Amino acid sequence: MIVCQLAGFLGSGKTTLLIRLGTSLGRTGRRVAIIVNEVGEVGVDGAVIESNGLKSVELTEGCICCSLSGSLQNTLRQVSREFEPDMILIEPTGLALPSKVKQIVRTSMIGEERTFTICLIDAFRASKLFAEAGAFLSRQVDGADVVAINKVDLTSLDVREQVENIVKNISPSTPIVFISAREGQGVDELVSMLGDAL
Amino acid sequence: MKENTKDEAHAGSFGLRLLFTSPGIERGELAQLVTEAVRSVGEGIVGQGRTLIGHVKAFTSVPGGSLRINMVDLDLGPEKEDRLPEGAIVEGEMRFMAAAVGLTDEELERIVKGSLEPLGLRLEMGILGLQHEH
Repeated sequence: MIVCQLAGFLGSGKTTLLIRLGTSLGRTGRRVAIIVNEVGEVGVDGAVIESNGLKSVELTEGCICCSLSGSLQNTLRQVSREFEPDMILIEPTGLALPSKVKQIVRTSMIGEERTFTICLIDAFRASKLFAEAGAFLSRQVDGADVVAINKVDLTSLDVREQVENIVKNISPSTPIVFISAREGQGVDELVSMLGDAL
Repeated sequence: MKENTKDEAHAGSFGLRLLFTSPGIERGELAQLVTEAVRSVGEGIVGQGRTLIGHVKAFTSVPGGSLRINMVDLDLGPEKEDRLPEGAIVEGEMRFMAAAVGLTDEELERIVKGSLEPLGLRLEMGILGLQHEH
């Protein structure tokens, strides 16, 4: 069983990518469980995911990397025991730190073979986001197994290169893929990475 | 004390869930009303002297369909995924969620509730779930 975390700041495209990954992996016959986290009391992403034919467990009213860490551990144990998935996809809030989520997964003792973290960066807003919340975003990038620079359908090659350089300055050795979760561009590469990990 | 990443990011959030009824509203008009509510939240955030660094999202489900609206940037505007059914819509559920850097939960609550007022002129709405302070 693999645990894959889709990290990234608010509005980076996590839910859109999760729906694509969950659907693609499900079509290959993999059993995929989805845990989605919403910082507010009312979840929206869970309803969106279910409207696309996928089922999910929604954890609301906090962040799974801090205030809801206990709930995440309990949910991981319950899901792995009752559903026996090949993969658990976790979508934290856009305000979560993936390194902390990874640690919580590890201490949940669910016997996962591997954890895999994809960190999404919104290429369209990257310069604005890094200017306003650069330290926080850098912590999100750090520790990712792969950085997916998303929304490339909205940006020029120059902008993509700029964003790539920002990411490389934070984490020089982390692989980078360019995707458009909305259009599906580049998503096959991520599906292959996850498939290889299984 | 456990680190709270929401505080670390200096972000606020507010969400609510509501049920609505109507004598019968066409899909186009409903989509436009919800889209404008989402846009209004973004404009409200900018009106506070802040840049929209965050996410405003709404999901509306009705018998036979749904409407998903996201906005992360005012220049891009709201992005819509419209699967509402044809014909008069008489009931449904809406979920709104806004999270943004530089605003408190209370400020976002005020902005979101204010943005929903035009909807209330056209629909009968009952709010179910609210964001609470911890």
